[in-house]
Amino acid sequence: MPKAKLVIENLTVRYGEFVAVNKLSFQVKEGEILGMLGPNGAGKSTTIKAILGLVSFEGRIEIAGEDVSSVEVRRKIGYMPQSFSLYQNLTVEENMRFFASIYGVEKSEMSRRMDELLRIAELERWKDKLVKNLSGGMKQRLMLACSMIHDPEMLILDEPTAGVDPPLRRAFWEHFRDLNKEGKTILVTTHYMDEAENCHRLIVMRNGAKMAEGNADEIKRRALGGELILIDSIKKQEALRILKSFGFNSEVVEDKIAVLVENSAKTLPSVVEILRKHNLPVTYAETKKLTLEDAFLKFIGGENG
Amino acid sequence: MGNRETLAVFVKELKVVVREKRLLAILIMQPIILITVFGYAFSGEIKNVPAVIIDDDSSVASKQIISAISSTEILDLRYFAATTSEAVEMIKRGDIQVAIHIPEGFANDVLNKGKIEVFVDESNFNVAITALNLIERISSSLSRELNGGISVEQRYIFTTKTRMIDFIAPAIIGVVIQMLGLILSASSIAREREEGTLELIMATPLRSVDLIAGKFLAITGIIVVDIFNVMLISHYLFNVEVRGSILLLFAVQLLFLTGSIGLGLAISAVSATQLQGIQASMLMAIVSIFLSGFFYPLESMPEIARLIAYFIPLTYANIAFRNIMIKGNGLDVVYPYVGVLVFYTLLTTLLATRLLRRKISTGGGS
Repeated sequence: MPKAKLVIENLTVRYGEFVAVNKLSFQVKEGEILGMLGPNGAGKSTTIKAILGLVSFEGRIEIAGEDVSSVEVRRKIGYMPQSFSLYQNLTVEENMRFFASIYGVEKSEMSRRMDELLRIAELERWKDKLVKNLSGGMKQRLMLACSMIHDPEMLILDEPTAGVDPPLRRAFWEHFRDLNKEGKTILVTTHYMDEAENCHRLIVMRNGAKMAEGNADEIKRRALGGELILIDSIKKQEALRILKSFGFNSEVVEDKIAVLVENSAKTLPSVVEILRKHNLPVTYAETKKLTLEDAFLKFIGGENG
Repeated sequence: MGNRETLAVFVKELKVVVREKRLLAILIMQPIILITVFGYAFSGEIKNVPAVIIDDDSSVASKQIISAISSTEILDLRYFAATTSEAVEMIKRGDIQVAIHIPEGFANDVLNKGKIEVFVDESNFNVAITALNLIERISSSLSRELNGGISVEQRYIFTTKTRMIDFIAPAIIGVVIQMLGLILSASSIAREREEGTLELIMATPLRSVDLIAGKFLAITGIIVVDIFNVMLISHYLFNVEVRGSILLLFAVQLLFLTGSIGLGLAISAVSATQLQGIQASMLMAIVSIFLSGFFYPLESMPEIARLIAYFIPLTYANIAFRNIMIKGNGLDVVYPYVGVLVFYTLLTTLLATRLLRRKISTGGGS
């Protein structure tokens, strides 16, 4: 089992009376991509701010075994904030150089590192342009490049693809996966379900608390308390009675019988077998796929869960 | 660690301000306009300088000199005095600025070595030089006419009286330091907050001391240019003299600048937006200008205004600058005012560091 890169224990953040994050605990393992999902105001960005020491908090946060109250620990993190925040009146290169300097990147290392990131971000041609004259996509790429200037062990990305067009979104995620393969641990918040599917594990947050944790399949299962099998038979009421007598949590939904089980793929054959033994041929059977969005909406209290 | 980060912030800060063309224009032009306008308003052309004649000779020659002087527009012969000591008193009181004494026997001596005594108000250097030059010119042309030799003896009278511009120029430097120092520093942190860069650099290992030091140096660099501009213009255009030590003056200016930047950074740490920061510092600056004895000496202000003035740092800066520039005093005289400024500077820089650090590193538990 890989070590934990980030440990958060009993994190509570208050803004005056308002409790933005409430006794939150989770870990990000070394080498994984952990996604944080949650509606606006769920406490995702506040959690990130606490990790970076931008807000005061109660609880414990450690990165690679080191308490985040130490300023040095910030060298291990690359941070890309939600809204664009670089110096508009500096050029692409000057911004990168500034962040390299304050992160303490060695002079000998600096040019090589900058060249490499400019190439990856496809900003070589624009390196002498003032940032205010760049397009939105270029700015976003520059932000990512600046957050990686010091070759951090861990990247914290707060909605990195907000307002980014689909081709660039895809390119960003390909890049994140590449970085992850190179060994970078990534903590990312997102609103996009397809992006969330790319994460090794997910945390669903609501009102400052953790509602669910696990990989995408586990999250979906937990949304219903299990998985669904949809089944139909010639005598629907009879079949329902028999399934209930076998202890299955089932009911008629629309024109099918819905059975809630722990693992739909494993259980489906035995359900079919039971009905067949009672001379109730099964006319329809399906393991119902819940989308991540369904599960997400369920957890955060949406209607169509 | 430390120097490199400070340097990075310094370079970045300078570039950001220099590329902000409108801000830069204000920063450079405002002090120049200020000193030029006040300079022309309060120094004026040298014309109709009030003067007195002590004519102990009452001869044709002395009358010739007097009529030559009164035919120019430079001197205005308003009075006749009986004795030189009376005339000197008049200069000291400020009634007149020049006294011309023609001694008894001048007409007799004029053929070989007649002399004229001229008393001038030393504090008003510009006027003194103009008046002396005029009298030299008149006496030498008279000498040629009479085939004689007249010598002009210069007598400087030391008074505490000064021209308005001599009095105001040191205060303009004080105002420029305070106003621009405050505005530049107050807007600098707030601008970073508005653009989101503050959050970003707070998430880096950059220490607040390095951030403040870098910003401080950049702002100092810009305002030192302003100080030089004001000093050069007031000296070369309006003949404002620095009678004391230039080095001491510069040191006290830097001290006051440090305090102002500290105050500006503290204001910007607590204000939510750039505009708020600038407004708060403008208010500070304007109140300071009116109550710090910018136009009138502290002694001639109403009791209440004077009480308030004692709580305004600019008051002490102005007194110190005036003492060094007008009276030529050294540290032995100005140390109480410098002491207050040292206290002010320590207080504001400490406050700024504390306020900004609280914003920057709020790590868990500690």
